[in-house]
Amino acid sequence: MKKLLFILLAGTCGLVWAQTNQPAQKKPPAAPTDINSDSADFDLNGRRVEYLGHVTVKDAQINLQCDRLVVDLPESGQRPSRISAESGSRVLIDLIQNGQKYHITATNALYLYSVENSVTNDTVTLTGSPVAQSEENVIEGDKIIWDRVTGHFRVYGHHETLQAPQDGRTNALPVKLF
Amino acid sequence: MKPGGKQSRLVLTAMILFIAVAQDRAQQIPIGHATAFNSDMYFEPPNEDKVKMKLSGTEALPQPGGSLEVKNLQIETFYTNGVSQLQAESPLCVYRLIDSTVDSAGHLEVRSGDGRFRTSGDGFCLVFKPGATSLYISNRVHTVIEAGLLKP
Repeated sequence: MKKLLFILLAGTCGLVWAQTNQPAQKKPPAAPTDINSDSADFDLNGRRVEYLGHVTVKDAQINLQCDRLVVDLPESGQRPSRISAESGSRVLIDLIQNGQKYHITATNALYLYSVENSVTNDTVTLTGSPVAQSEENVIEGDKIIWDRVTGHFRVYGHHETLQAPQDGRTNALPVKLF
Repeated sequence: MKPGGKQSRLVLTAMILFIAVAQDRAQQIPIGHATAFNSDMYFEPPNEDKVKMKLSGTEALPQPGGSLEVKNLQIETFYTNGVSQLQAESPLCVYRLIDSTVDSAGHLEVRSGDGRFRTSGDGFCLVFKPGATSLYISNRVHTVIEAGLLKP
């Protein structure tokens, strides 16, 4: 009986051991981001950095050009909660989402990230005559919010679709109008 | 003993004390070339026993106005738990002790203690006053964030 219990116990431990030694799914490392600018001001007490003049941001998903970029510096290991981009002319954003290319212009772009009650808010709000263009259509509005969680563009206020999709393909802007 | 001998000894003691104080000050603001330049700064209370910033250089040459021209400056700032926050290097700069600033028209390399962030540029001013630590880079700023600015 004792021998049987020992075998059962050893078997259970072996199962637990086998479960805990499953090879972990490795996430691909995030691609680095390059930021270039004429000048930069790092406020180490306020944990904020301001890039000024001919600012470009490049990574695997986004190319951004603006005159002023302000990043609230996160605690070590965390992601920024607020990034704003402004331009005297237009903020230019080229991005790739789900394999589709989008070209966005606006006067201001505000990135906000937060997690509240297990709900992730990960948005880019575009104001100042924003225009979002996919390969097949162009959307204008008073405000466009790019929800990075759902991949949708939400258009607020007066809006206009300048070019309708030419066929039923799915690479039109995933837009919700309000 | 001559009359007034006690007074003379007091004057002599005062002179020795004055020289000792002058020598102590000379350690803070080096006169002539100083190799292995090192300066530690501490946090404000209640963390006054913890190092906030270390400055070092291979050579420091006093300049008019109480500043130092420092070669191969290395700066490291720390969190209150002792973990490295930022490390910076500049081949040549001026350390203005009275203003608590370091500035240069030359190149600057900065990296975070965890290595996930690095930036460089030409021409900078670092201000390290209590409650107002800032770094301004005036030209050709290039920043690399290894983990990405916006994670997918």
